[in-house]
Amino acid sequence: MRHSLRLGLAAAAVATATLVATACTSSGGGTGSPGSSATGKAVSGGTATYAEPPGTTPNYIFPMLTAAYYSVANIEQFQRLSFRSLYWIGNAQGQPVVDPSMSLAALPVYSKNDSVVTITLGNYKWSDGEPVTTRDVAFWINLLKANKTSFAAYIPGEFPDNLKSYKIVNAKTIVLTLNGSYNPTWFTYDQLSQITPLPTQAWDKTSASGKAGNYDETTSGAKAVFNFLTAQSKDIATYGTNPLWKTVDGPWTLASYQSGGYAKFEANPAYAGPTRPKLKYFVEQPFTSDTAELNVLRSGNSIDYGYLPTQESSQSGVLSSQGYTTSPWLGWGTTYFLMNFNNPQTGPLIGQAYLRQAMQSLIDQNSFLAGPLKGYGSTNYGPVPVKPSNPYSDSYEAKGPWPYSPSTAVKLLKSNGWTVNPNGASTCTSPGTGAGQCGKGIAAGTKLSFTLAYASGTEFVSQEMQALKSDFSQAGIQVNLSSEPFDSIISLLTPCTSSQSSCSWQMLNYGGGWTYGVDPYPTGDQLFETGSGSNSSNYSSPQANALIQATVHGTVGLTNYENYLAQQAPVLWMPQPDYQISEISNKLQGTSPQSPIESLTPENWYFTQ
Amino acid sequence: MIRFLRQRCSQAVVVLLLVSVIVFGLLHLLPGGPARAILGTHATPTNIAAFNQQNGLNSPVPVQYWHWLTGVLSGNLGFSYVQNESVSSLLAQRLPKTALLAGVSVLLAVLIAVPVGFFQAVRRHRAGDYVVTTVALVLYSTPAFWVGILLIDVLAVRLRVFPAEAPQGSFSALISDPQALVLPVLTITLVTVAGFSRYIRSSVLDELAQDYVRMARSKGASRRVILFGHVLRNAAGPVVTLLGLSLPFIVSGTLITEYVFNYPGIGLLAFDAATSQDYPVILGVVIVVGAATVVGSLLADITHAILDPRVRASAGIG
Amino acid sequence: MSPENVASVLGPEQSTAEAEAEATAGGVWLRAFVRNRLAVTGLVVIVALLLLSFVGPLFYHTDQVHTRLGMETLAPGAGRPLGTDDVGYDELGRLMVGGQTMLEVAFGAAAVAVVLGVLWGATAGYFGGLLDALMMRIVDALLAIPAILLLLFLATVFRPSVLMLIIVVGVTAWLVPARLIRAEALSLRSREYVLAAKTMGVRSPTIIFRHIITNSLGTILVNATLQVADAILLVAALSFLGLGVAPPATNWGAMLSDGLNYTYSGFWWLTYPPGIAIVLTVLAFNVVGDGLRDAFGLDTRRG
Repeated sequence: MRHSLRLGLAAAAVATATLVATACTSSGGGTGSPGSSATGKAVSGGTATYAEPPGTTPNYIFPMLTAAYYSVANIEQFQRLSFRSLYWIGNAQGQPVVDPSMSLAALPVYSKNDSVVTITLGNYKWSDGEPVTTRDVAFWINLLKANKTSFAAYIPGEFPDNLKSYKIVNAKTIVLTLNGSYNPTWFTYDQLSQITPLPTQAWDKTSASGKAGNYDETTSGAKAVFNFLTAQSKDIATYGTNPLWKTVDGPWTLASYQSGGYAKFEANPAYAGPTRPKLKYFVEQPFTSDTAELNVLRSGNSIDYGYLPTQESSQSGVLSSQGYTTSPWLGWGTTYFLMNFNNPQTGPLIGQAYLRQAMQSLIDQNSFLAGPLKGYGSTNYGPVPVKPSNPYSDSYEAKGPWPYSPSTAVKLLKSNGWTVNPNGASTCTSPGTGAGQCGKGIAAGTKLSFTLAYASGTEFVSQEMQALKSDFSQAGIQVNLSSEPFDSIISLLTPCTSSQSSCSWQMLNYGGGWTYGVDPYPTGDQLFETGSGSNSSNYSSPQANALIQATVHGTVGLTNYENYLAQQAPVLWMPQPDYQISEISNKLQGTSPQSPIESLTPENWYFTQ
Repeated sequence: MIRFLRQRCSQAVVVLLLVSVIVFGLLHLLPGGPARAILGTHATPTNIAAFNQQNGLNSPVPVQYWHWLTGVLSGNLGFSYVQNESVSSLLAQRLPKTALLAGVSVLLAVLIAVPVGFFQAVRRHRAGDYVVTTVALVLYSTPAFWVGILLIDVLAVRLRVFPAEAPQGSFSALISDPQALVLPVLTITLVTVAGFSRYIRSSVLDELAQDYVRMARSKGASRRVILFGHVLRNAAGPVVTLLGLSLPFIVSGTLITEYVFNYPGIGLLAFDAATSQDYPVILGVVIVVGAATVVGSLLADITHAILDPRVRASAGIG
Repeated sequence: MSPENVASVLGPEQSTAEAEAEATAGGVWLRAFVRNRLAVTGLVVIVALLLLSFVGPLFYHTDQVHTRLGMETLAPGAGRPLGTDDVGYDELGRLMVGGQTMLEVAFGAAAVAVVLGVLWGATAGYFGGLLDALMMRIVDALLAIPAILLLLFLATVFRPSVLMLIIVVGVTAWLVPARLIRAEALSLRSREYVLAAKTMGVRSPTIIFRHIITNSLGTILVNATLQVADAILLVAALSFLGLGVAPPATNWGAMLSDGLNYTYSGFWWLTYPPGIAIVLTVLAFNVVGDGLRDAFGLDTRRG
């Protein structure tokens, strides 16, 4: 009772402090983008309150977690504030590239034909005074090897399966020997960035009262340590008090936490990174719905970093007069919807590139952006996003080889043996596998008619699909829409073969695509390679496979791969919505740029008077 | 009385078992399964297999039910798929908050409904009755979420008298901020007071028509004595019944209000669990609410039996 | 399911079946009903809303299938008496389409609930004994499960369509009529004409239909009208929580909750028309139900 009373008082104190801090404000008048030259003097201290995106809350603190807890809310916006990853993605320009100054190690050095990696750590320290050493890196690797099926990001064949051995040279240098040659960028971004060094001196134990040792060096010991740490992590009532979680190398320590997702961090004075926190406290506040959050935004100034629901985007003017600046937050991901290559009836149709290209040419991305997305998004014609700005996007893919052009769609169909019946169903009148004919497995008289199941519950998705149905009919492609619950749609995402009943879907839109969180270097080996675990459309193309392999093992960049996929449209590319429309209080500065992988870096934030 | 109690208690156990079988069956026999829903769009077949393995979802359904049941009987209600907390811990935190919200609202509703219903019955078919009845009927017919949102819009956002959402912290944080309770309580009260007062009105009208009232009047007892002495006491029984049976509706009623006000009670927990296919939590909530309903109706019956001798006479049927 | 609806099944097991049987015979109840002005007004409102929803579109043509992005959320004006909604549909036309869905689901669910409940309750009450005990324990169990929780879960798995809503709402609502009719059956089965029929060898189903159910008609009718009212509120709540029929279909509850998303933008024509429609309909069915109850002379705490 006393414990919760203390929490209650602490919460009340935070609320009061926030109120006081925000009470003495100069009214509104948003001056351009936040983070630009401050309109007032910077003050140190204070508590910044961040509104968590609706329905997602942090609830897991131990960085080696299962898929059920693998989320931005837990990793990028909770764990990483205290436990830094080996390599940090997101630089000062907001690009999804490694930032060496924020990383625990210098950029890795590849040798022996890119099969050996040498990692040299920087000078970070744990909050108990111990330095972050290669022993801590090895600790993570040992735990992972013994418990890999329990780690969300583990993919059979990839890290640590592709690690032949490792050797600790000294406290700062570790050498990894891989089982083959790998593209350094891919390996650094998609494999090494998963590593979070853990404090061996505090966590390498098998019981709370036991002493720390080297248990992780045996498989059974590593399992015991993992089980112990997992059990501790399942006791969320103690997140704010358990000494385990107080040993951090990041700028923030969790000071108090409440079930439901309320988290309060305090600045870690021992943080050895480039920017020390100026704020005293950083608070994350949970909300069940975005309307609830908007109500709180509109009724007072208790939120410093909030967001605007897209459908209420017209409110940005009102919020601006309340002292907030609207700042769209772009995430690093691609949006598309799926066509099933293994469907027994429509599979042969989808297998024809010209048909997919015709359909891509009937998607009016600009009108979707202007209407349903209300301007908060970017065009997206391939697997590599154009925004936020990044060094991988090629102009061919960025412009899109198949922009909205109904005449192109009609031409593609006509020149491949189809009779186009606008507002009806186009039919195949020239079957066969020769030039100008429909293609393999398509009988004469086949109609172009598909069922498209899309997830209900998101306004812009249903608006886009209604418009799309009407656009497709211009080339006689019939789309029978069916709105289904989100859960029932995503239950079909597991790859299937034509004989399975789970393969009877023809087109599927769950309202998203893929967020490049685990794999910030977007090589597509998980999405588009034959037989890969997230290849939900069952796409199989030897040419695509070769291009993807070249990006994972070779030294080429992404250009050939991304341009091929943009051109082939194995999925139908859709505009990428912004991650959120942030509303940031004008008194809070230092919040720009917003991280491309949705991390939070409140150590850069400060209040102004 | 003892026989009555024993019979009802054994019935209650049967009912609870049936509840658990029905809901467990429903959850597990529907197509799909929770894995993909819990793990999301980025889950690989490896992740899904690990999840099913870890949560015993590969065993036959009756076996899973047995495991769950034996767990419950030994106090272990399971572990949430999504929230990284045990079901009992979640319930222990959320239940008091809903109890507070529902308790205060229902108490307020009863306190208002009894005199109002009385007034309606006594002034039957006169102007006063019509006005009050109409207002009550309109309130009764308005969706609760609309009432809540209107209250937020006017009192929280425009006039800034009350906060727009409930405090998120522990129970003590909740009671230390009574201002934040006003709007949610008001929402539930407004919507339920109408139903309650209609019921009281009917109940009082029935009592007034009873033989004993006419007898008392013919004996010369004053109107006041009749009303407050006899009628009120006999009309009180159904109120208790009403309260007892309102328990499951308290969950449904508070669910909407908790959703609108972001109130961290059991209704919101149930909503999150139901929409995210968090089976252990759904089952936990159903059992708790089911038990509360059964106990509530039992208590209501007992109190009613105590208050009204006519009920005691015909009690025990069914 | 309203608390008083359920509470009405408790209380003394005295039956007013005799009064009810009297009122049913000879249409006495109809005359009593017509004299109740409030109830008649309610009936008129219901008919008006039915006409608006089903006959209205024949006179007032709008396109309710194709969205018109670019014409969204326009205020009421020339050619659009109630403005447009957030994808450009005409709001008045939407109100009619929404009304069709709403009333179809409400009537359908009430019908399912009443048919299922009456059959179940009559059978249980007539036969009594172990069968009765088992059947009513099942009813108790289902009553103890919060309907909205089950509905929420089902809606995340199954596509919400009008048929599915009817089934799902009806299946959660049949419990109250089951209890009510069971109580009626319990008292009616010891009446002389029932006992006489049994001795004459009349089969049970015939007895149940001819005597039990026909003599409970009043209770059934009253409950049916109240079921419709409850179904409307339940569908509105479900739509608010995000589960309802898919566009371009809609119902008043979905229209209201969609409109509430724009609370701060001041688009009043998106919330008040469907909201008032809901209130009016529920109100109307409630006063009609009350009127029927008075007309049949039923115990006002039951039926």
